[in-house]
Amino acid sequence: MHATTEQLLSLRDGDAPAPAVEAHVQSCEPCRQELARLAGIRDQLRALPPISPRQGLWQSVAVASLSPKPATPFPWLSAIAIAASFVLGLALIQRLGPGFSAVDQSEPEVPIAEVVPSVEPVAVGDLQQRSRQLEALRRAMPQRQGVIRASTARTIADLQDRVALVDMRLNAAMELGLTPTQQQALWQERVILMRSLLQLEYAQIQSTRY
Amino acid sequence: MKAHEILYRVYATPVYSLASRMLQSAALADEVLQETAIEVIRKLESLREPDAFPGWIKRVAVNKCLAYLRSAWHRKSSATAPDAEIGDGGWLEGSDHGAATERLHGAMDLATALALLSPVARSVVWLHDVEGLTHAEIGRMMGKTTSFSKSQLSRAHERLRDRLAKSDGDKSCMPQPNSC
Repeated sequence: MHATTEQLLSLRDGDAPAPAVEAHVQSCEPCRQELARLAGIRDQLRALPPISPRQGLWQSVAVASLSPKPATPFPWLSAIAIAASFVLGLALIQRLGPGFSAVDQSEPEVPIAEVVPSVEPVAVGDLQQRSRQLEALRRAMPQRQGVIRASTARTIADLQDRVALVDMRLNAAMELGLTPTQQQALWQERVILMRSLLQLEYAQIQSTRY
Repeated sequence: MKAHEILYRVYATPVYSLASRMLQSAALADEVLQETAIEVIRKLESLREPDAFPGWIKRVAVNKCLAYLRSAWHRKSSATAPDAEIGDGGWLEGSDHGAATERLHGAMDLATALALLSPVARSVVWLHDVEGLTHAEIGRMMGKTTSFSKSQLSRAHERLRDRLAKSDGDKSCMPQPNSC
């Protein structure tokens, strides 16, 4: 009867099994080969190349580490914030209408062209009004406490960058020679980006509370 | 913060490698490294013995990896993979993704064979054979016994052997001591 893998692993790791097993392995060629193979696998595993994290992760660590830890597991202020965020969420959904759907945090943003409903064009004034409402809602949202996931932080930063880019283009509309249709498309894009941003931040507040 | 950054540069790659090997997900490894680093920043002052730092940070990172493996989200995503075998026993049963991938790819190196083990088997192999944790430590961290860790390691090595032998195309030449 040959040694089992578990017995051979014990021998390999210096945890001597029963003396009879050790004696058998010493005199058995297949068992000695298997013992050497197991030691070889361990050496190969240890020799696997290290995997380096992506550049820039430290920045998100540094930012996240500045967030204060909650003083108690469930402070009363948090309970109030939960209630407030519920009310805010309901108001948000009502204001944004039925097209307001969940953002998948694990996936990159869907191209704007696929998100914009192909309905009749909305007036620029309406889009500007909606944009202002979304800004106001975002300002009114409670501040998130605690650590944010790296992937979520990336998505939020990406959305903020895209909003900033749209703003930059809108501010330079004259210099860029944008047509009214192009400006309208930019305002529409801004509303969609703000919706996504707001929804993501709202979801973060909800996940923090629970 | 500069001192923390210097320290981060030292442990980032080992922690990230550990998390990547255990979780087989770059996104989750990001999370583990980030959460570990934050815990280091917040609790470093409470560490009395500098020599204990490497062991402490490894424990922190391993515990975070195990927490991800226990999570319902991770079990759900594992269950959608080929040959998923998650049963009522929860995360400890895990799933082994090997068979379908072997059919697809044929040849396989050790890193791939390791990645195809169930999450728990893979973790036990990595923690014991590479990180040097004892079976007692692994069992304790997983909320199981020393014997559990030993049997997981043994079965994992048998699967690694079978897969690597199959990929070499000379399985019949490999010693099979347990079959005698």
